Amino acid sequence: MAAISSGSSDGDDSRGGGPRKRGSPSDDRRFRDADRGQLLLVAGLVVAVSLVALVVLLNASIYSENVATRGIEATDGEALEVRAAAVEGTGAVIDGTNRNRLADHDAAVTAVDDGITDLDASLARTYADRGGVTHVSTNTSSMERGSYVTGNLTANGTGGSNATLAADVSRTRGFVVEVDPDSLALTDESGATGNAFRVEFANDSAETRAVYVYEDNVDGNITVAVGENGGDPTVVCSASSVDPVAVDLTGGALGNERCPGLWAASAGELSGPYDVNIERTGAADGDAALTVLPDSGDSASSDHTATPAVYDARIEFSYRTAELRFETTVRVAPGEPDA
Amino acid sequence: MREPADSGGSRLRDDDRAVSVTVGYVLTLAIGAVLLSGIVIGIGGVVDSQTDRVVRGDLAVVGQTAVANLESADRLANASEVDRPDDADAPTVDVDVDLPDRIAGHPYRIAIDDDAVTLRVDSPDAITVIPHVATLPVESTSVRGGPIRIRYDGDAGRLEVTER
Repeated sequence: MAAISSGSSDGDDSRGGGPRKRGSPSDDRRFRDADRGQLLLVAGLVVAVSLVALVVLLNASIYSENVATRGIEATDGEALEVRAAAVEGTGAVIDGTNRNRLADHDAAVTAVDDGITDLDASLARTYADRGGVTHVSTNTSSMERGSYVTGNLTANGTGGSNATLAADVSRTRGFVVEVDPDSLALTDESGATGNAFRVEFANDSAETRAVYVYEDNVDGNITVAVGENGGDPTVVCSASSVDPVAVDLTGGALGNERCPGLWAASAGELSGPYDVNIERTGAADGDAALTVLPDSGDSASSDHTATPAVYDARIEFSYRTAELRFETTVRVAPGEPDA
Repeated sequence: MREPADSGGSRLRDDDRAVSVTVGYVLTLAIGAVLLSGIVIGIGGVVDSQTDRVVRGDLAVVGQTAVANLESADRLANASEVDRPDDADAPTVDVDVDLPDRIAGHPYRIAIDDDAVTLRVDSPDAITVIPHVATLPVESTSVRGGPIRIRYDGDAGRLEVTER
Protein backbone atom coordinates (compact mmCIF):
# COMPACT_ATOMS: atom_id res chain seq x y z
CA MET A 1 0.00 0.00 0.00
CA ALA A 2 2.95 2.35 0.66
CA ALA A 3 3.96 2.04 -2.98
CA ILE A 4 0.46 2.89 -4.08
CA SER A 5 0.35 5.95 -1.89
CA SER A 6 3.64 7.33 -3.17
CA GLY A 7 2.54 6.66 -6.76
CA SER A 8 -0.64 8.52 -6.12
CA SER A 9 1.19 11.56 -4.83
CA ASP A 10 3.32 11.46 -7.96
CA GLY A 11 0.22 11.59 -10.05
CA ASP A 12 -1.11 14.52 -8.10
CA ASP A 13 2.19 16.37 -8.54
CA SER A 14 2.14 15.88 -12.28
CA ARG A 15 -1.50 16.99 -12.44
CA GLY A 16 -0.62 20.08 -10.41
CA GLY A 17 1.72 21.34 -13.17
CA GLY A 18 5.10 20.29 -11.74
CA PRO A 19 8.40 20.65 -13.49
CA ARG A 20 7.48 18.12 -16.23
CA LYS A 21 6.02 19.39 -19.48
CA ARG A 22 3.37 17.93 -21.80
CA GLY A 23 4.77 15.64 -24.50
CA SER A 24 7.69 14.58 -22.37
CA PRO A 25 8.49 10.82 -22.16
CA SER A 26 6.91 10.68 -18.74
CA ASP A 27 3.39 11.40 -20.10
CA ASP A 28 2.46 7.72 -20.26
CA ARG A 29 3.55 7.20 -16.73
CA ARG A 30 1.60 10.27 -15.69
CA PHE A 31 -1.63 8.95 -17.17
CA ARG A 32 -1.08 5.61 -15.57
CA ASP A 33 -0.49 7.36 -12.27
CA ALA A 34 -3.66 9.38 -12.79
CA ASP A 35 -5.62 6.19 -13.47
CA ARG A 36 -4.27 4.64 -10.35
CA GLY A 37 -5.27 7.76 -8.41
CA GLN A 38 -8.81 7.57 -9.73
CA LEU A 39 -9.03 3.95 -8.79
CA LEU A 40 -7.96 4.76 -5.27
CA LEU A 41 -10.27 7.75 -5.12
CA VAL A 42 -13.31 5.86 -6.32
CA ALA A 43 -12.55 2.87 -4.14
CA GLY A 44 -12.00 5.11 -1.13
CA LEU A 45 -15.26 6.89 -1.82
CA VAL A 46 -17.14 3.61 -2.08
CA VAL A 47 -15.58 2.34 1.13
CA ALA A 48 -16.35 5.61 2.89
CA VAL A 49 -19.97 5.63 1.77
CA SER A 50 -20.33 1.99 2.74
CA LEU A 51 -18.89 2.65 6.16
CA VAL A 52 -21.21 5.61 6.67
CA ALA A 53 -24.16 3.44 5.63
CA LEU A 54 -22.99 0.76 8.04
CA VAL A 55 -22.72 3.27 10.85
CA VAL A 56 -26.21 4.57 10.15
CA LEU A 57 -27.56 1.03 10.06
CA LEU A 58 -25.85 0.00 13.26
CA ASN A 59 -27.07 3.17 14.91
CA ALA A 60 -30.61 2.28 13.88
CA SER A 61 -30.06 -1.19 15.23
CA ILE A 62 -28.75 0.10 18.55
CA TYR A 63 -31.69 2.47 18.82
CA SER A 64 -34.14 -0.35 18.15
CA GLU A 65 -32.47 -2.59 20.71
CA ASN A 66 -32.63 0.28 23.15
CA VAL A 67 -36.33 0.79 22.51
CA ALA A 68 -36.89 -2.96 22.81
CA THR A 69 -35.17 -3.22 26.18
CA ARG A 70 -36.75 -0.04 27.49
CA GLY A 71 -40.12 -1.74 27.58
CA ILE A 72 -43.24 -0.49 25.94
CA GLU A 73 -45.17 1.88 28.09
CA ALA A 74 -48.73 0.65 28.28
CA THR A 75 -51.06 3.51 27.51
CA ASP A 76 -54.02 2.03 29.32
CA GLY A 77 -52.67 1.87 32.87
CA GLU A 78 -53.26 5.47 33.78
CA ALA A 79 -56.62 5.67 31.97
CA LEU A 80 -57.89 2.68 33.94
CA GLU A 81 -56.47 4.17 37.12
CA VAL A 82 -58.32 7.44 36.53
CA ARG A 83 -61.52 5.59 35.72
CA ALA A 84 -61.22 3.58 38.92
CA ALA A 85 -60.55 6.77 40.89
CA ALA A 86 -63.61 8.44 39.33
CA VAL A 87 -65.86 5.44 40.08
CA GLU A 88 -64.54 5.08 43.60
CA GLY A 89 -64.87 8.81 44.23
CA THR A 90 -68.43 8.88 42.91
CA GLY A 91 -69.31 5.88 45.09
CA ALA A 92 -67.91 7.67 48.12
CA VAL A 93 -69.91 10.80 47.24
CA ILE A 94 -73.14 8.80 46.92
CA ASP A 95 -72.66 6.83 50.12
CA GLY A 96 -71.51 9.91 52.01
CA THR A 97 -74.57 11.80 50.85
CA ASN A 98 -76.86 8.94 51.87
CA ARG A 99 -75.28 8.69 55.30
CA ASN A 100 -75.98 12.40 55.80
CA ARG A 101 -79.70 11.52 55.75
CA LEU A 102 -80.91 14.50 53.76
CA ALA A 103 -84.54 15.52 54.03
CA ASP A 104 -85.67 14.58 50.53
CA HIS A 105 -84.51 13.02 47.31
CA ASP A 106 -84.02 16.30 45.49
CA ALA A 107 -81.58 17.48 48.15
CA ALA A 108 -79.73 14.16 47.95
CA VAL A 109 -79.51 14.29 44.15
CA THR A 110 -78.26 17.88 44.24
CA ALA A 111 -75.67 16.98 46.87
CA VAL A 112 -74.40 14.09 44.76
CA ASP A 113 -74.27 16.31 41.68
CA ASP A 114 -72.24 18.91 43.59
CA GLY A 115 -69.97 16.21 44.96
CA ILE A 116 -69.24 14.89 41.48
CA THR A 117 -68.46 18.42 40.26
CA ASP A 118 -65.91 18.74 43.07
CA LEU A 119 -64.54 15.30 42.26
CA ASP A 120 -64.09 16.35 38.63
CA ALA A 121 -62.06 19.39 39.63
CA SER A 122 -59.96 17.32 42.02
CA LEU A 123 -59.20 14.60 39.45
CA ALA A 124 -58.43 17.19 36.76
CA ARG A 125 -55.86 18.85 39.03
CA THR A 126 -54.27 15.56 40.01
CA TYR A 127 -53.85 14.19 36.50
CA ALA A 128 -53.02 17.49 34.80
CA ASP A 129 -49.56 17.10 36.36
CA ARG A 130 -49.12 13.88 34.40
CA GLY A 131 -50.25 15.31 31.09
CA GLY A 132 -53.74 13.88 31.07
CA VAL A 133 -57.03 15.73 30.81
CA THR A 134 -59.91 14.20 32.76
CA HIS A 135 -63.56 15.08 32.85
CA VAL A 136 -66.27 13.56 34.99
CA SER A 137 -69.83 14.75 34.77
CA THR A 138 -73.26 13.49 35.63
CA ASN A 139 -76.87 14.27 34.92
CA THR A 140 -79.22 14.55 37.85
CA SER A 141 -82.00 12.92 35.84
CA SER A 142 -79.86 9.80 35.44
CA MET A 143 -79.69 9.17 39.19
CA GLU A 144 -82.00 6.50 40.55
CA ARG A 145 -83.66 7.29 43.82
CA GLY A 146 -84.02 4.86 46.66
CA SER A 147 -83.84 4.44 50.40
CA TYR A 148 -80.98 4.12 52.83
CA VAL A 149 -82.13 1.81 55.63
CA THR A 150 -80.31 1.49 58.93
CA GLY A 151 -81.18 0.46 62.40
CA ASN A 152 -80.65 -1.75 65.37
CA LEU A 153 -81.80 -5.30 64.73
CA THR A 154 -83.93 -5.54 67.82
CA ALA A 155 -85.15 -1.94 68.05
CA ASN A 156 -87.53 -1.99 65.14
CA GLY A 157 -90.91 -0.48 64.57
CA THR A 158 -92.83 -3.71 65.18
CA GLY A 159 -91.72 -4.24 68.74
CA GLY A 160 -91.38 -7.93 67.96
CA SER A 161 -88.51 -10.15 66.93
CA ASN A 162 -89.43 -10.05 63.25
CA ALA A 163 -89.30 -6.94 61.11
CA THR A 164 -89.13 -5.77 57.54
CA LEU A 165 -85.94 -3.95 56.58
CA ALA A 166 -87.25 -2.99 53.15
CA ALA A 167 -90.38 -4.00 51.28
CA ASP A 168 -90.82 -4.50 47.56
CA VAL A 169 -87.33 -3.70 46.36
CA SER A 170 -85.81 -4.55 43.01
CA ARG A 171 -82.15 -4.04 43.88
CA THR A 172 -80.09 -3.99 47.03
CA ARG A 173 -76.55 -2.83 47.63
CA GLY A 174 -74.22 -2.30 50.57
CA PHE A 175 -76.16 -4.72 52.78
CA VAL A 176 -74.11 -5.34 55.90
CA VAL A 177 -75.34 -6.88 59.16
CA GLU A 178 -73.00 -6.37 62.09
CA VAL A 179 -73.67 -8.56 65.11
CA ASP A 180 -72.21 -9.29 68.50
CA PRO A 181 -70.99 -12.90 68.27
CA ASP A 182 -71.87 -13.56 71.91
CA SER A 183 -75.52 -12.91 71.17
CA LEU A 184 -75.76 -15.44 68.35
CA ALA A 185 -77.57 -18.75 68.84
CA LEU A 186 -75.33 -21.75 69.56
CA THR A 187 -76.61 -24.32 67.12
CA ASP A 188 -75.76 -26.32 64.02
CA GLU A 189 -76.87 -26.63 60.40
CA SER A 190 -79.99 -28.65 61.14
CA GLY A 191 -81.00 -26.58 64.17
CA ALA A 192 -80.52 -23.24 62.47
CA THR A 193 -84.07 -22.99 61.09
CA GLY A 194 -85.50 -23.25 64.57
CA ASN A 195 -82.97 -21.26 66.55
CA ALA A 196 -80.78 -18.92 64.51
CA PHE A 197 -81.19 -15.31 63.51
CA ARG A 198 -81.91 -14.98 59.81
CA VAL A 199 -82.30 -12.49 57.03
CA GLU A 200 -85.07 -13.56 54.72
CA PHE A 201 -85.69 -12.52 51.14
CA ALA A 202 -89.23 -13.23 49.94
CA ASN A 203 -90.64 -12.42 46.52
CA ASP A 204 -94.23 -12.11 45.33
CA SER A 205 -94.31 -15.78 44.31
CA ALA A 206 -93.83 -16.80 47.95
CA GLU A 207 -90.33 -18.01 47.18
CA THR A 208 -87.91 -17.36 50.00
CA ARG A 209 -84.18 -17.50 50.63
CA ALA A 210 -82.98 -17.18 54.20
CA VAL A 211 -79.46 -16.38 55.36
CA TYR A 212 -78.85 -17.81 58.83
CA VAL A 213 -76.12 -16.48 61.10
CA TYR A 214 -75.19 -18.54 64.17
CA GLU A 215 -72.32 -19.82 66.25
CA ASP A 216 -71.51 -23.39 65.44
CA ASN A 217 -71.93 -25.57 68.53
CA VAL A 218 -69.03 -27.83 67.53
CA ASP A 219 -66.13 -25.56 66.56
CA GLY A 220 -67.46 -22.21 67.85
CA ASN A 221 -67.04 -20.53 64.45
CA ILE A 222 -69.47 -17.89 63.27
CA THR A 223 -71.34 -19.64 60.48
CA VAL A 224 -73.45 -18.37 57.60
CA ALA A 225 -75.88 -20.78 55.93
CA VAL A 226 -78.49 -20.30 53.21
CA GLY A 227 -81.87 -22.06 53.23
CA GLU A 228 -84.39 -22.33 50.43
CA ASN A 229 -88.13 -21.94 51.00
CA GLY A 230 -87.88 -22.72 54.72
CA GLY A 231 -85.87 -25.92 54.24
CA ASP A 232 -82.72 -26.95 56.06
CA PRO A 233 -79.92 -24.53 55.22
CA THR A 234 -76.58 -25.25 53.61
CA VAL A 235 -73.45 -23.76 55.11
CA VAL A 236 -71.86 -21.21 52.77
CA CYS A 237 -68.97 -20.10 54.93
CA SER A 238 -67.70 -19.81 58.46
CA ALA A 239 -65.02 -17.83 60.22
CA SER A 240 -63.47 -17.63 63.63
CA SER A 241 -65.24 -15.30 65.99
CA VAL A 242 -64.33 -11.61 66.02
CA ASP A 243 -66.20 -8.89 67.84
CA PRO A 244 -68.28 -7.54 66.23
CA VAL A 245 -68.64 -9.76 63.20
CA ALA A 246 -69.83 -8.13 59.97
CA VAL A 247 -71.80 -10.19 57.49
CA ASP A 248 -71.58 -8.43 54.14
CA LEU A 249 -74.43 -10.04 52.23
CA THR A 250 -73.99 -8.13 48.97
CA GLY A 251 -70.19 -8.06 49.10
CA GLY A 252 -69.85 -11.73 50.06
CA ALA A 253 -67.74 -11.46 53.20
CA LEU A 254 -67.90 -12.74 56.78
CA GLY A 255 -65.71 -10.72 59.10
CA ASN A 256 -62.34 -10.60 57.42
CA GLU A 257 -62.96 -13.75 55.36
CA ARG A 258 -64.32 -13.95 51.86
CA CYS A 259 -67.71 -15.60 51.56
CA PRO A 260 -68.13 -16.06 47.83
CA GLY A 261 -71.52 -16.77 46.37
CA LEU A 262 -73.46 -15.62 49.43
CA TRP A 263 -75.65 -13.20 47.48
CA ALA A 264 -75.89 -15.38 44.39
CA ALA A 265 -77.11 -18.31 46.52
CA SER A 266 -79.66 -16.21 48.41
CA ALA A 267 -81.45 -13.17 47.00
CA GLY A 268 -79.70 -13.55 43.67
CA GLU A 269 -81.81 -16.63 42.96
CA LEU A 270 -85.12 -14.84 43.37
CA SER A 271 -86.96 -13.37 40.42
CA GLY A 272 -88.88 -10.11 40.62
CA PRO A 273 -89.05 -7.65 43.48
CA TYR A 274 -88.63 -8.99 46.99
CA ASP A 275 -88.98 -8.02 50.65
CA VAL A 276 -85.98 -8.01 52.96
CA ASN A 277 -86.97 -9.24 56.41
CA ILE A 278 -85.07 -10.04 59.57
CA GLU A 279 -86.38 -12.73 61.88
CA ARG A 280 -85.58 -14.01 65.33
CA THR A 281 -83.69 -10.86 66.24
CA GLY A 282 -83.53 -12.11 69.81
CA ALA A 283 -80.68 -14.32 68.61
CA ALA A 284 -78.61 -11.46 67.28
CA ASP A 285 -77.62 -8.16 68.81
CA GLY A 286 -76.37 -5.68 66.27
CA ASP A 287 -77.10 -3.31 63.41
CA ALA A 288 -78.01 -3.54 59.78
CA ALA A 289 -77.46 -1.09 56.92
CA LEU A 290 -78.48 -1.34 53.30
CA THR A 291 -79.41 0.83 50.33
CA VAL A 292 -82.35 -0.31 48.26
CA LEU A 293 -83.95 0.59 44.96
CA PRO A 294 -87.74 0.32 45.33
CA ASP A 295 -89.60 -1.53 42.62
CA SER A 296 -91.91 1.43 42.31
CA GLY A 297 -91.72 4.97 43.65
CA ASP A 298 -88.75 6.61 45.28
CA SER A 299 -88.89 5.19 48.79
CA ALA A 300 -89.12 1.71 50.27
CA SER A 301 -91.25 1.09 53.32
CA SER A 302 -89.39 -0.21 56.34
CA ASP A 303 -89.83 -0.97 60.03
CA HIS A 304 -86.45 0.67 60.54
CA THR A 305 -85.12 4.08 59.64
CA ALA A 306 -85.39 4.58 55.89
CA THR A 307 -84.16 7.91 54.55
CA PRO A 308 -84.18 9.33 51.01
CA ALA A 309 -81.11 8.23 49.16
CA VAL A 310 -79.46 8.11 45.77
CA TYR A 311 -79.23 4.47 44.73
CA ASP A 312 -76.95 4.93 41.74
CA ALA A 313 -75.60 7.58 39.39
CA ARG A 314 -74.35 7.60 35.81
CA ILE A 315 -71.14 9.41 35.15
CA GLU A 316 -69.77 10.46 31.80
CA PHE A 317 -66.06 9.86 32.06
CA SER A 318 -63.38 11.01 29.65
CA TYR A 319 -59.60 10.91 29.75
CA ARG A 320 -57.32 12.30 27.07
CA THR A 321 -53.60 12.41 26.55
CA ALA A 322 -51.54 13.09 23.43
CA GLU A 323 -51.88 9.45 22.38
CA LEU A 324 -55.12 8.35 23.98
CA ARG A 325 -58.79 9.21 23.97
CA PHE A 326 -61.01 7.25 26.35
CA GLU A 327 -64.65 8.14 26.91
CA THR A 328 -67.35 6.03 28.44
CA THR A 329 -70.42 6.05 30.63
CA VAL A 330 -70.33 4.24 33.94
CA ARG A 331 -73.20 3.38 36.25
CA VAL A 332 -71.93 3.69 39.80
CA ALA A 333 -73.72 1.74 42.52
CA PRO A 334 -71.13 0.99 45.21
CA GLY A 335 -71.48 -2.38 46.87
CA GLU A 336 -74.00 -3.77 44.40
CA PRO A 337 -73.57 -7.48 43.74
CA ASP A 338 -73.12 -8.64 40.16
CA ALA A 339 -75.95 -11.12 40.38
CA MET B 1 14.73 5.96 -8.52
CA ARG B 2 14.69 7.96 -11.69
CA GLU B 3 17.77 9.29 -13.47
CA PRO B 4 17.79 12.58 -15.35
CA ALA B 5 16.11 12.32 -18.75
CA ASP B 6 19.08 13.72 -20.62
CA SER B 7 21.43 11.03 -19.43
CA GLY B 8 21.90 9.47 -22.91
CA GLY B 9 24.21 6.61 -21.91
CA SER B 10 21.78 5.16 -19.55
CA ARG B 11 18.80 5.16 -21.97
CA LEU B 12 19.00 1.44 -22.61
CA ARG B 13 19.07 0.73 -18.94
CA ASP B 14 16.18 3.12 -18.61
CA ASP B 15 14.29 1.16 -21.22
CA ASP B 16 14.95 -2.10 -19.45
CA ARG B 17 13.82 -0.59 -16.24
CA ALA B 18 10.82 0.94 -17.89
CA VAL B 19 9.64 -2.47 -18.84
CA SER B 20 10.07 -3.69 -15.33
CA VAL B 21 8.43 -0.53 -13.94
CA THR B 22 5.52 -0.94 -16.34
CA VAL B 23 5.05 -4.50 -15.28
CA GLY B 24 5.45 -3.41 -11.71
CA TYR B 25 2.80 -0.72 -12.16
CA VAL B 26 0.46 -3.07 -13.87
CA LEU B 27 0.98 -5.62 -11.15
CA THR B 28 0.53 -2.98 -8.49
CA LEU B 29 -2.62 -1.70 -10.14
CA ALA B 30 -3.98 -5.20 -10.58
CA ILE B 31 -3.25 -6.23 -7.02
CA GLY B 32 -4.59 -2.91 -5.76
CA ALA B 33 -7.72 -3.31 -7.84
CA VAL B 34 -8.24 -6.84 -6.58
CA LEU B 35 -7.68 -5.83 -2.99
CA LEU B 36 -9.94 -2.81 -3.24
CA SER B 37 -12.60 -4.83 -5.01
CA GLY B 38 -12.40 -7.37 -2.22
CA ILE B 39 -12.79 -4.67 0.38
CA VAL B 40 -15.68 -3.05 -1.46
CA ILE B 41 -17.43 -6.38 -2.01
CA GLY B 42 -16.74 -7.40 1.55
CA ILE B 43 -18.08 -4.16 2.98
CA GLY B 44 -21.03 -4.38 0.61
CA GLY B 45 -21.77 -7.83 1.96
CA VAL B 46 -21.48 -6.61 5.53
CA VAL B 47 -23.81 -3.72 4.76
CA ASP B 48 -26.32 -6.09 3.18
CA SER B 49 -26.22 -8.55 6.04
CA GLN B 50 -26.45 -5.75 8.59
CA THR B 51 -29.37 -4.25 6.68
CA ASP B 52 -31.13 -7.60 6.85
CA ARG B 53 -30.40 -7.96 10.54
CA VAL B 54 -31.52 -4.42 11.32
CA VAL B 55 -34.71 -4.81 9.28
CA ARG B 56 -35.64 -8.01 11.11
CA GLY B 57 -34.77 -6.51 14.48
CA ASP B 58 -36.75 -3.36 13.78
CA LEU B 59 -39.71 -5.33 12.49
CA ALA B 60 -39.81 -7.26 15.75
CA VAL B 61 -39.56 -4.11 17.87
CA VAL B 62 -42.16 -2.21 15.83
CA GLY B 63 -44.41 -5.27 15.82
CA GLN B 64 -44.18 -5.64 19.58
CA THR B 65 -45.03 -1.96 19.99
CA ALA B 66 -48.06 -2.35 17.74
CA VAL B 67 -49.18 -5.48 19.59
CA ALA B 68 -48.71 -3.87 23.01
CA ASN B 69 -50.84 -0.92 22.00
CA LEU B 70 -53.45 -3.15 20.39
CA GLU B 71 -53.76 -5.10 23.63
CA SER B 72 -53.84 -1.82 25.51
CA ALA B 73 -56.77 -0.68 23.38
CA ASP B 74 -58.40 -4.06 24.00
CA ARG B 75 -58.14 -3.63 27.76
CA LEU B 76 -59.53 -0.09 27.54
CA ALA B 77 -62.36 -1.24 25.30
CA ASN B 78 -63.27 -3.98 27.76
CA ALA B 79 -63.09 -1.50 30.64
CA SER B 80 -65.31 0.92 28.74
CA GLU B 81 -68.07 -1.70 28.66
CA VAL B 82 -67.95 -2.45 32.40
CA ASP B 83 -71.03 -1.05 34.17
CA ARG B 84 -72.05 0.83 31.04
CA PRO B 85 -75.83 1.21 30.82
CA ASP B 86 -77.27 -0.33 27.66
CA ASP B 87 -78.89 2.91 26.54
CA ALA B 88 -75.76 5.02 26.99
CA ASP B 89 -73.75 6.40 24.06
CA ALA B 90 -71.16 4.10 22.55
CA PRO B 91 -67.80 4.42 24.30
CA THR B 92 -64.82 6.02 22.58
CA VAL B 93 -61.41 4.39 22.72
CA ASP B 94 -58.67 5.76 20.44
CA VAL B 95 -55.05 4.82 20.89
CA ASP B 96 -52.52 6.60 18.66
CA VAL B 97 -49.25 4.83 18.05
CA ASP B 98 -46.23 6.59 16.54
CA LEU B 99 -44.52 3.89 14.52
CA PRO B 100 -41.63 4.79 12.17
CA ASP B 101 -42.41 5.46 8.50
CA ARG B 102 -39.50 3.34 7.33
CA ILE B 103 -37.46 0.53 8.70
CA ALA B 104 -33.72 0.80 7.90
CA GLY B 105 -34.74 3.07 5.04
CA HIS B 106 -37.30 0.65 3.61
CA PRO B 107 -41.09 1.17 3.61
CA TYR B 108 -43.14 -1.59 5.18
CA ARG B 109 -46.72 -2.74 5.69
CA ILE B 110 -48.63 -3.78 8.80
CA ALA B 111 -51.35 -6.41 8.51
CA ILE B 112 -53.60 -6.99 11.52
CA ASP B 113 -56.09 -9.74 12.11
CA ASP B 114 -57.73 -11.60 14.99
CA ASP B 115 -54.62 -13.54 15.90
CA ALA B 116 -51.50 -11.61 15.03
CA VAL B 117 -49.84 -8.49 13.72
CA THR B 118 -47.76 -9.16 10.60
CA LEU B 119 -45.09 -6.74 9.39
CA ARG B 120 -43.58 -7.08 5.94
CA VAL B 121 -40.68 -5.43 4.14
CA ASP B 122 -40.35 -6.27 0.45
CA SER B 123 -36.66 -5.52 -0.07
CA PRO B 124 -34.93 -7.19 1.68
CA ASP B 125 -37.71 -9.71 1.89
CA ALA B 126 -38.60 -10.04 5.58
CA ILE B 127 -41.77 -10.91 7.47
CA THR B 128 -42.33 -10.84 11.20
CA VAL B 129 -45.47 -12.25 12.78
CA ILE B 130 -46.22 -11.23 16.37
CA PRO B 131 -49.25 -12.98 17.91
CA HIS B 132 -51.54 -10.90 20.11
CA VAL B 133 -54.03 -11.85 22.81
CA ALA B 134 -56.68 -9.18 22.31
CA THR B 135 -59.99 -10.59 23.55
CA LEU B 136 -62.16 -8.50 21.25
CA PRO B 137 -62.40 -9.28 17.55
CA VAL B 138 -59.99 -7.29 15.41
CA GLU B 139 -61.00 -6.19 11.93
CA SER B 140 -58.60 -7.68 9.39
CA THR B 141 -56.79 -4.86 7.66
CA SER B 142 -53.48 -3.89 6.13
CA VAL B 143 -51.98 -0.43 6.48
CA ARG B 144 -48.79 1.33 5.43
CA GLY B 145 -46.09 1.38 8.06
CA GLY B 146 -46.13 4.65 10.00
CA PRO B 147 -48.28 6.33 12.64
CA ILE B 148 -51.46 4.33 13.20
CA ARG B 149 -54.64 4.68 15.22
CA ILE B 150 -56.32 1.79 17.02
CA ARG B 151 -60.01 2.47 17.55
CA TYR B 152 -62.75 0.56 19.33
CA ASP B 153 -66.01 0.42 17.42
CA GLY B 154 -68.47 0.15 20.28
CA ASP B 155 -71.46 -0.61 18.05
CA ALA B 156 -69.74 -3.44 16.23
CA GLY B 157 -67.80 -4.49 19.33
CA ARG B 158 -64.47 -4.78 17.53
CA LEU B 159 -61.11 -3.07 17.21
CA GLU B 160 -60.07 -1.32 14.01
CA VAL B 161 -56.66 -0.10 12.90
CA THR B 162 -56.28 2.84 10.53
CA GLU B 163 -53.48 4.99 9.18
CA ARG B 164 -53.13 8.36 10.77
